[in-house]
Amino acid sequence: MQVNRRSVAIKRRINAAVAYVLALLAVAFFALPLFWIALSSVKSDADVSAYPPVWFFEPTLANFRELFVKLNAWDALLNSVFIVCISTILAMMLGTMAAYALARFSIRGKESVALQVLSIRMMPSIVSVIPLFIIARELGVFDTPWLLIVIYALNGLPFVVWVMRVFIQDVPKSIEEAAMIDGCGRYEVFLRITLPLVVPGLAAVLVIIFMFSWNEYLFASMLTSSEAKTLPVVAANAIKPKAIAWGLSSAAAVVMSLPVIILVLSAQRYLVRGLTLGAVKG
Amino acid sequence: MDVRASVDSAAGAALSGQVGGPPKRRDWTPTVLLAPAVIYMTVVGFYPLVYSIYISLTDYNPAQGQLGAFIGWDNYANAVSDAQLWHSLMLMGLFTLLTVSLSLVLAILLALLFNKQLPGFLLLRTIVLIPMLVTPIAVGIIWRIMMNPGHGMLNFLLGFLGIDPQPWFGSRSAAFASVLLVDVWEWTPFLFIIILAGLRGLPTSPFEAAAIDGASSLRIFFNITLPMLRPVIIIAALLRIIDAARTYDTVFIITRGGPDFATDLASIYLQRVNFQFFNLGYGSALSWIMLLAILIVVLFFVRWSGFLGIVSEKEPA
Amino acid sequence: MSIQVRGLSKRFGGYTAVRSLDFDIADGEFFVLLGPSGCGKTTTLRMIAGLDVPNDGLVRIRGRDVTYAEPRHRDIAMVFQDYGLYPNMTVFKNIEFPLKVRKVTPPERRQKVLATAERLGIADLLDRKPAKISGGQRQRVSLARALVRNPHVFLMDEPLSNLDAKLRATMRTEIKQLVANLGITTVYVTHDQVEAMSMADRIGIMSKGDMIQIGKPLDVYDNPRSRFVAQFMGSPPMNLFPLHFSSERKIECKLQPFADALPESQLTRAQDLAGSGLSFLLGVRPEHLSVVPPSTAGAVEAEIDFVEPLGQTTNLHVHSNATPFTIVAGRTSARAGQTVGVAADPAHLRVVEDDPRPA
Repeated sequence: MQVNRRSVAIKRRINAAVAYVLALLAVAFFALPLFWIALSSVKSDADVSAYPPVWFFEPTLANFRELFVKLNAWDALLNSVFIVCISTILAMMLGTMAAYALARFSIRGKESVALQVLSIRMMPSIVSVIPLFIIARELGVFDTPWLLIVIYALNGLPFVVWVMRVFIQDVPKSIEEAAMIDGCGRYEVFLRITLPLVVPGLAAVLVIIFMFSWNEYLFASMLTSSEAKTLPVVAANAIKPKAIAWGLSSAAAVVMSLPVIILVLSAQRYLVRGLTLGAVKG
Repeated sequence: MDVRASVDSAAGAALSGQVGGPPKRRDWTPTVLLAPAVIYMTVVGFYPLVYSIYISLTDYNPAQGQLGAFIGWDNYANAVSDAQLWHSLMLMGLFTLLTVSLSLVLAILLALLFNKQLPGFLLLRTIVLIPMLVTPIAVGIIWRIMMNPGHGMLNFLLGFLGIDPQPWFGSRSAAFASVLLVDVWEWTPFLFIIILAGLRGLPTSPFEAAAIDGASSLRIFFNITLPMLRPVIIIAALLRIIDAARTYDTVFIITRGGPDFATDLASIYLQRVNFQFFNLGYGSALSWIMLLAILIVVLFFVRWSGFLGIVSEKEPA
Repeated sequence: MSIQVRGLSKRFGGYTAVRSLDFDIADGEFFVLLGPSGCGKTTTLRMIAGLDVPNDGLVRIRGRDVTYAEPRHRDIAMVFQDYGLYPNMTVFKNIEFPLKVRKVTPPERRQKVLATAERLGIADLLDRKPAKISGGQRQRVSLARALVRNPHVFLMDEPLSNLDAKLRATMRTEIKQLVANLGITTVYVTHDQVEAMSMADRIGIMSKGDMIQIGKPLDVYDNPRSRFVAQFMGSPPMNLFPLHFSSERKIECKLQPFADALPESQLTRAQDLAGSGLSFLLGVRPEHLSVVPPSTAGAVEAEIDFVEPLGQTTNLHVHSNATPFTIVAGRTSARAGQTVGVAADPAHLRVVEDDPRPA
């Protein structure tokens, strides 16, 4: 069977072409709805419900204005930012310390921790929402941001511990031992030697739990009523009535999703490693 | 000799708790590091759970003025004959099975495709990731708008391709299918990225050996690639199963559980019992039953997929 | 001719990995591609295998032009550095795979696999998976899988690198005997010159994409064409001293007695190189130097810097006229600081081209 350079080159081109076509189809499937919603968010009410759908139109920011003014989306945005940032930091701090302890020391019942973490994951939120609802009312923290902060930190903790443990284990003990012989105390070693070496892991985990807290709806909707509403709650409310406000809800969807998308895409490099380590190595 | 001994004991003291050295002082470091997290999880996490069990044994229902008289196992007994509950659990199971299977297949195909190093693929890959980042509520909004029978984007596109407009939430089966479609759209990227990373981590030499041995692409995929990916696929599937069973936000926005309870997944039914009817005692019991159901599904999957085999396979000879 | 390579080149972007190689490998020959990492030997092997496509040149196997043919159409088998075993298949299934692909019938497959496994001493491992057997055993499974097809050409990419030293030594002989018994043409890539010396029928030394010298092991060892080859082969490496012709056409070197002892043939070689404007060196291997009383005629006077007693032999690191060099002697009572005479065996003095390629 005689094969020459040209036929190899042609075969390569055809394979590449097919790959591109398939890739573009996939991208179209996943991106089209996003594109459409972004488009819809800047359409006027007339344009947005026009059928057949319009592709060329006068863009307008009316929906966003209405969102922030009428629906108190601005307050919700601030709530989201405040609650999610604080709870993420809290979870990162507690979780990384615990992860370090589990990674470096032999502790009784270490293996059962892994199992516990997995079983916590399986729990439907509703199991905890109910008692927390009752407790929060009794304690008077219902509808305060602190309640959500505490809960979101709890939600993120297992993931932080799970993944950071793997990252810390990747740091060779010998580096820490060298530092200790040089005169560092245990905590110094943790802060000045180990932490800087696991920054990619920290970045990945931080972005992931930020995302999950930011997107959370069930706890937020059940445990707030007027003061501490987060963005997803406000957006869901825009849909309550039978006839949904298309432009308004599109704008809400965009405002809700943009921060996370930007955050995640900029930290993309670290993320793949973080996710897969959590899945594969753990 | 003296210098060495003192260095030894200094290092030994510093490392005690790990390496057996001279004077064994109790090293408080692990406790100090671990305690905050443990205490936190116990107070904020564990305590409410215990409380929840307690509530499930009462008839607490603020809407009807019942303030939690202890009724033992009554709630659980009533749950057994709650047809709505079993309907919603069954839907949860069916939904989980279908969405995970479909998105798994799609994710594997995508991973194979995007494993190629063609120019521009990195950008395309990044775009494909976005659906799983979007707030689920927003996903619900997006698709609800697009699936509107009369004015929606989707039916317009179908018309473009010459297909009749679909009643996306009109009929019971259509609604279930719609909700499935949305979930697959949203979460395939999650499986995709994990499987892609797994694919990238595979050693190249077995594939080159297979090329030399003369195996066809299909044979390579089924006899070599897939078996080598098995651990990654199973773990990814497990994670997805656990999340799919608890799906709430998107379905809530799109169909609210209807029409006619066709998409009344367990999480939605429970939400209704607890926060519409405020039947919190009963609802708590139901939530524990739901957890049990998820546990059973997970155990079943673990057994069927040979998950434990994978864990032990990782041990060297 | 079993394998013919003409003008073979490979570039990765702006980097040239292999530059216009020409060589032939005879039927049944054990040919070793030797060189430091990055020299292009593995790339060359992969082009012969069909795993990489060359930018220029051609590869012929048994007279057929296979330059762009797929690996499976070349009738070759390959053993990889990390063995390339299929991790989820048992040893039996691994060895059986090439036969299965070629649609050999199950009974015949079974018989061939068992026979090959017997021959390689792994018959009792057939039910195990690669993860559960040792490195040396994996190595044999890899060989078995390559052998079971009875291919025309055997390609091996540093198969012994991942084994410990002792195992390496035993496997060296085993592989050589195995391949010799079957008479299969073999191309073997390694960076270990001891492996090359002990196993090869001929060695092809490469550096930075070029083929520097091809020849029988002892030929390459005794008559290195350039400084690179001289220093790469042998341990400790050949001693090299700058050499030049004075304005009166007299051969000069810092260790003049050695230069004076150069045989006629080597002098001619030096003259040829000088004529082409190339610089050259005087080379003599440490084992061809001997310690003699200091004032012996024709000997160089040197001071011992450092003595390495290795049991069978002793490495003496000396210097003379500000030039350091090494002597390999038997058991000796020589000590550092002593002044000794060093005599060279004229038959083993060489003129070597000063090819400025780092080893």
